Amino acid sequence: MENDEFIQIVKQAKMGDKEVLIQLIMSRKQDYYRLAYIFMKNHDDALDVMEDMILKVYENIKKLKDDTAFYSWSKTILVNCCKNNLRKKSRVILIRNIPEGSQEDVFHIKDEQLYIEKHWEKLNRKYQEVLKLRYYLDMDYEFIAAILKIPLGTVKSRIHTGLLKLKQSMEVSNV
Amino acid sequence: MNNIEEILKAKKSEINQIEVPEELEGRLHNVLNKKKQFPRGSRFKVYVAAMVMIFTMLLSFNYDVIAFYSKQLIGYDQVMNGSLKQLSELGKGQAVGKSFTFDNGVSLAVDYVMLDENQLLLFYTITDPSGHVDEDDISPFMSLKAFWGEYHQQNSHGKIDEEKTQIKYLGSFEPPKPFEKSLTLKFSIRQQGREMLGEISFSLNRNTSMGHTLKKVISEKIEADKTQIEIDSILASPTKTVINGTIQNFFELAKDQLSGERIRPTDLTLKLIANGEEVRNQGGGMSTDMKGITFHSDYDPLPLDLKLLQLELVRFGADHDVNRKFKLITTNDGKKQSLNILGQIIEISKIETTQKETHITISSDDRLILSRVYLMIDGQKVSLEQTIMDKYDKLNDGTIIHTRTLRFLGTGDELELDVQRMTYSKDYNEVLEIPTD
Repeated sequence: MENDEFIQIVKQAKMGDKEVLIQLIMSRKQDYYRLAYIFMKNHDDALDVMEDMILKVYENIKKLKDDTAFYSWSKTILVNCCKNNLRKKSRVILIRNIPEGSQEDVFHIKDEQLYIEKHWEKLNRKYQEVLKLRYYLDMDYEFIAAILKIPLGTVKSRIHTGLLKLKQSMEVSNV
Repeated sequence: MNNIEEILKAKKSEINQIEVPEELEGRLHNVLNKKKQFPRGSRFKVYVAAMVMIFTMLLSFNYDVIAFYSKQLIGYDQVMNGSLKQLSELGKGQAVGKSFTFDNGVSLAVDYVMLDENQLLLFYTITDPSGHVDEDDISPFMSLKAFWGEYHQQNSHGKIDEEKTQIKYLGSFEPPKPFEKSLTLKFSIRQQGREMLGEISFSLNRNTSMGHTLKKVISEKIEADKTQIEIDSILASPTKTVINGTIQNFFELAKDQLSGERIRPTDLTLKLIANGEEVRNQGGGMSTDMKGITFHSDYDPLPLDLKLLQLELVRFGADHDVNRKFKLITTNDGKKQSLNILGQIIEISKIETTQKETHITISSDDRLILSRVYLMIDGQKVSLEQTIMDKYDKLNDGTIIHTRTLRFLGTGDELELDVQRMTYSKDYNEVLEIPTD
């Protein structure tokens, strides 16, 4: 029953109803926002990529074949938006975008709060992704495979290797 | 491994506490509503068709010109600006035509050189037959090694072809000293973490060098907000025009450093006007060292029939040391408190306390940023958590007022805003005439 209702709502969104689309996203806002946040690591960028995402979803929703897959499909889009954004950001930092209170020491304070972040940085991004999705967002292997568009086996091996590498990195620095 | 998993779990509970910001829904609404109903599609195709037609027309009309380029500078027409195209049409410069191939098949070819007193322009091509030229990690830190010194690449830009097999680059190098003849371009590519070196040697034909068109010491000062901007000199050559200047010399810099009132310039906009028309800006740079704070500002070449040359200081902004604390009035009598910091006005429009947080809403000119700010809560120093709820209002006179809320963790009765640094910029519009004779 609930499923039928959901499909009905997705169909409505496919007709171009913006309001319905926003409600669809908002009903799982925590999932989306946290997903964006663990990639972007800050509030502003997380909001920005969610804007990118909803535009992409709106433009492409007609191409979605399986209506029940709306959430995993839109999360794939969100992950791609995050990656695109990170790729762009690694190239340029605009002076104008430096926010209030962002002198170097403020960055340092943040760093100390998130000491594990330092070790994350050393890890290849492909390991970071799977580990964060698995451990921070509690996603199961199949779902991770679906939204990152990689085979299930790869997800498992990356989680395994990623944990090992993270462990090594943290032990090395403890010495 | 358990240990790691526990750390991850602890971190997860931190992430679980992340609240979805309230503005999310509003922002999603905004961005979607700006979007027209199902756009693109057929209209997009029409544009593409129109572009194709225009290009075909341009190509067929300009066939002679293209045929001329093809002798020496194939594929660079989109990399060059108008004045460089003119120079290459006049045959200024020197063809080189040498290349170097790395083990993985990626090659770099030096096609052409142009030299004048401001810069050495190197036209080079990077080719990757496998079609991944955009992923090849060729370092932009290239240099020309010669007998008396090494001349570094200062900037470059390029155009990639559609098959991703080739990038045509135009790189600007420091001009080699007048007696240098043989040059060696040194460059490197990173492959699986290893750096492979490559080099190409060629000899410079000084006869093709273009010298300068205008070279002058100016030494004029413009007053700008507690400091003086000195325009030292101008050097115009056929490929570009460079203005050099100083913001603080070494002694002024040292004095400010000792008194704790340093400024760090963030925004210097100079407009060069030749015969009443603005000359396009190409870029610029600023550096602080033993000479003080110096800058250069680069423009397109000057027109040939130069009669009048003016330089306008449009805007200057800097990050200033403030190091002052301001007591905030927390009583709600409806009166807005305003702070005067270095002559800039910041209005405190609202102070709100929630259970664990203090939110301070301030408004100011949009170019003003409190670049290092803390809140003293009952004598305790608290760092800024984040800035939220940005809002920009444009006034009738064109100034933009930026209203935003600073979020601090913690609450208390005695609040003091500890402003350590602040960035702001101002418009000046002061014009200086540069003699052209």
